[in-house]
Amino acid sequence: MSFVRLIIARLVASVLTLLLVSVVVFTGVQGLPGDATARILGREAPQEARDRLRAELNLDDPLVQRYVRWAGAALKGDFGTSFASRQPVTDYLAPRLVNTLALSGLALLFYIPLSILPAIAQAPRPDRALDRSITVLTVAILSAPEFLSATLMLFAFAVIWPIFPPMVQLTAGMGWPAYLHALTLPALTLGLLLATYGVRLLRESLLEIYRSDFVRMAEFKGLSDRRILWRHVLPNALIPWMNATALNIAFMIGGVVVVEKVFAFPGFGSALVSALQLRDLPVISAGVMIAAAIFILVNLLADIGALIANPRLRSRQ
Amino acid sequence: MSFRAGTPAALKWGLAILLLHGLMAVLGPFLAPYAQDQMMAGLPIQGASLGHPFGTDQMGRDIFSRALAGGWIVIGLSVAGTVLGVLLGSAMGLFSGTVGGWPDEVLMRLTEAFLAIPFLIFALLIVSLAGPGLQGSPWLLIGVVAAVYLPRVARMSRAAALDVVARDYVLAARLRGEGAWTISRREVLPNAMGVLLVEFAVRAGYAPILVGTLGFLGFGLKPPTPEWGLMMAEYRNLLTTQPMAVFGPGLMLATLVVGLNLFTEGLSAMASRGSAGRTP
Amino acid sequence: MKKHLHYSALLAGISLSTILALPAAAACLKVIGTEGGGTSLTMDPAFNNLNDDSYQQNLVFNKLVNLDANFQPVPELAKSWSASEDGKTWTFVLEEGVTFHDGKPLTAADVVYTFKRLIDPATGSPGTPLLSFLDPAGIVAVDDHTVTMTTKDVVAELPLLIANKYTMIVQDGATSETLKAKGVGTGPFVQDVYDLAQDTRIFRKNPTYWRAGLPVAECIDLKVITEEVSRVAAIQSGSADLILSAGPAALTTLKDDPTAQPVPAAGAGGYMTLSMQTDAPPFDDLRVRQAMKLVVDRQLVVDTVLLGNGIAGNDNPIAPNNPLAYRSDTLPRDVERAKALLAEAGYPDGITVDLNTADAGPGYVMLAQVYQQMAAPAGITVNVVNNPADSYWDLIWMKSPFFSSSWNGRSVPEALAYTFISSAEYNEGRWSNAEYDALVTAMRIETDTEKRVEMVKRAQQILSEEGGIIIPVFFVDTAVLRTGCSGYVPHPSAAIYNFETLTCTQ
Repeated sequence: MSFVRLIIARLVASVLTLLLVSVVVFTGVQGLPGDATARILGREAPQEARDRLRAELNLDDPLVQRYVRWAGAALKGDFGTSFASRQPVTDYLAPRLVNTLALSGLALLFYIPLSILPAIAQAPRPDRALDRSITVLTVAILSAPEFLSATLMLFAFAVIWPIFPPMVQLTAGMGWPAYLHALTLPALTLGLLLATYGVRLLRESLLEIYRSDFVRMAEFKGLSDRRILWRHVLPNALIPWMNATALNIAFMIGGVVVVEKVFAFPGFGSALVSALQLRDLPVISAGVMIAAAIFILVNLLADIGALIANPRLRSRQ
Repeated sequence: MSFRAGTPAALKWGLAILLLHGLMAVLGPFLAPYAQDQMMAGLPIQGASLGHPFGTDQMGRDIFSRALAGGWIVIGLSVAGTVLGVLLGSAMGLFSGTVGGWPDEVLMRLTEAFLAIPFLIFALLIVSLAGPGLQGSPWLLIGVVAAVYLPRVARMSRAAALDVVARDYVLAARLRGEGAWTISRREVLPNAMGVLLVEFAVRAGYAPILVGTLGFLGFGLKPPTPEWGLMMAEYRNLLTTQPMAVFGPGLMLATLVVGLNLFTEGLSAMASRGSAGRTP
Repeated sequence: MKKHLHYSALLAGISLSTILALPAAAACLKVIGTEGGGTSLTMDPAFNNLNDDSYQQNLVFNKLVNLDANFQPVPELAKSWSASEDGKTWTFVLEEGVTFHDGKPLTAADVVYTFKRLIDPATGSPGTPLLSFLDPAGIVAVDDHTVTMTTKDVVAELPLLIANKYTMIVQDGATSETLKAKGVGTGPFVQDVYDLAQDTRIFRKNPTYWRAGLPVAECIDLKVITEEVSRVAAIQSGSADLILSAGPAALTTLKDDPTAQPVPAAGAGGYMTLSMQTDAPPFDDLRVRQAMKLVVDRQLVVDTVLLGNGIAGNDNPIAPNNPLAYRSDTLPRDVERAKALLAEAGYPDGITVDLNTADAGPGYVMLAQVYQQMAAPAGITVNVVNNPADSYWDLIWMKSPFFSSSWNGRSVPEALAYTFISSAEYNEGRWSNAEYDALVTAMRIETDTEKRVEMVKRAQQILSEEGGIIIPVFFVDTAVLRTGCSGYVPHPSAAIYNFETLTCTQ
């Protein structure tokens, strides 16, 4: 298959996946047990008040009708109105998404050097002192739950050495420098957490390739270690690493919840979790869809990247 | 060829740590100085001392005893969930990658649909959907862990399979007339084993953290279950005054993870060593 | 109308406007709340639900009558009140010279509108049942500054009962739609920035506040941080000026910290309960109920669950240190007697019960665990069932035989009636005691203070001895001020906050 046709095939596949996700998400969310009206009005709300709210929110219409209505509107960018705030879902989620994307972007900037550099320092000389000490550090961070690492980072850099604020305060008109400063500590924390995976995987990948035949050939040919690493080993190792990174991005959009909670960050993840607790169905559906859409997009790009990097994959079937 | 000289040592160390944890998990509840739910075993929220190596919590319970009592829960949940997820996921992924064509496309679409949902949100959704009856149950958590890992492992193993499949010796095998299943088993699996075992190591190491994080967010196991991650979440408020309350269970968790990692690393090195001398 | 903008344009617009546009806010006092409302936040007093709603509404609104730390009525927008001879008509005289934040003067019409709106079932307010004693036709604006409320029956403590969290005074004609996001009140602060997406809420000093010289602070920046550790970090690093409520662990951490000063509330506030439904076995037997109560070591609960920041309770909603309490000492624990009572009731080998709880309120799970331990020696085997928090109120509360709960502090007559009379909507114990009901009804219409106090005490005694609710502790809310700040005392009610005198010298 030609390159272009493969890409189009991937694109079509992505759209289909998105559609599949929408059905799965919508049905799943509608199936959540528990009553949205009770959560919104409180436990002491009289039944009349709850029934009134129920009617307003059209909670008793048939499922398929609600799906079609929802999907149709979503395509136009209208994700409906939040049950709890009575505001359009996009008004609430969009700035949250911007914040989390900014956080993730900054985290990614930290992540790339934090994962590549240690791995390439380790792989050429495995089991020496440097390799072992980096491994110990990585494993230490990896084996701690994120909320613990985040809390430790909070105390280290916001209380003991107060370089950064302990909670994220975003105000209108704060300007880019202040915005980035507010985001730095959570982004660094996030980047560090993700890097621990990246380092391990990249190291494994590199070692795998070092064992392969064509590297042996290169050594026989007398190529320098450096050249072998940068021109032969690393490019091939990067592919599974990029795949893993793409998956980690999904972590950032949803799993960043923990970091958001510790730093009181007004982000997308925490919006979703509180929507789940409130059973604010439109926000949950919209949120999960948006997260999924972003992830699918990133994956598509990663796939294309893999195809470009590894021409052998193009000639399948 | 630069090869990890200490591989058998990694395997030995890993095994040693895991056996130690296993012993602790089985004998712990009997060897613990106090019953895990015994209130006022000491004064409340006291720091580490000889009588209470990890200190006491708000109800005066001995945290060390609680940690000893909780080992089997952590190990059981993590291993069961991960094994389930990795088995199912890698079977699916390897097969998909080797077979290619329509079955691959369909499976991958499904996998991607589930992968597209951020895993923590996915876990929270599953827990919410399970309904109040099952929530807090260890079985649900095993299921959640497996469900979270399945698509991820499938994806990674498929990628590994694709990589192998593209190599010349597989082409040769195909030309020889070997079927997809044989190729999966003889060519793809051994070569993908390294990646798979790393996957298992990383995932198994993360499973207790996933369960603890769900506890932190209020969606996982519930107190008074003495699960290490949950305990770390419960005691995080005491972090500055009594760090051992958090680091005690934390160290136990960390050593478990390290043990798992070492063990599987050793295993993976042995497995790929075994196939290194193959002919193309 | 083009409601649904192209998605990317919306994103770009929002990001630009929130990040680049206006000059930054002046240094406001940072107030940190503990329980967030998220998207369900509302500025509409009629829909006040969570503490977060109370935080912001108390900044912006006033009530007609407010409550002091002993839950006694104090004048606010009503500077004085009196009852008629027959006790059925109350006259409230309003303060003069009060204006809303938009300049409109406060008149009786606003008060009448507020109460009628609350009573009207069409509004759908959760507060409607609380005002069922008021007749909408009986709420009249006699003139611009006088309001009368006429009731069908005598309500001896009407001023108390109209001081609940829903009755903050809004403008005549304000609707649910407008009030949800914008509260125009007469309060000490004016709503300025209200961006729920960015989690930023800023309130500015009301320059025309009717209490001269107040508020002291220029502006208040309100934020909720759910993580206790992060709140503590905020105070310690100087990023926060006031934490509205600190948990026992935080107070322990900050105990010797020079950067923080804890400020306890003046009195006991809300309380925790373990509620037994008395209409079915085994709790329909009074002896079983008494046994269940006798195993409680109340001071131990205070020391463990609240780490000392509380007051032991005597199974009724009036704290022992309240002058109206029927006894000021703590009910003692008596395991032997509990065993004997159980044997009498037909359980010589003890009983096994399920205690349903969830992390749906502060200390619930811990109290359940503590109770389990305390009950064991008497042969009561408690099986703690820890349910998921978010469906607890729908599925477990009031629906299982033995469950955890808690209630905010209220005035005495309200407290005795709200969850304990047989017709109460929230009769957690499904309890029905004719003498108790009669006393509660009588105390509402009894105008002789001495006689009323007698009734109050007798009612408490019956509730303690025969009711189905175990109330082992009262919370004593403690706030934390950054050193350098002063002028704030938490109110025992979790729905009342007074920021008028809060100030910080940097």
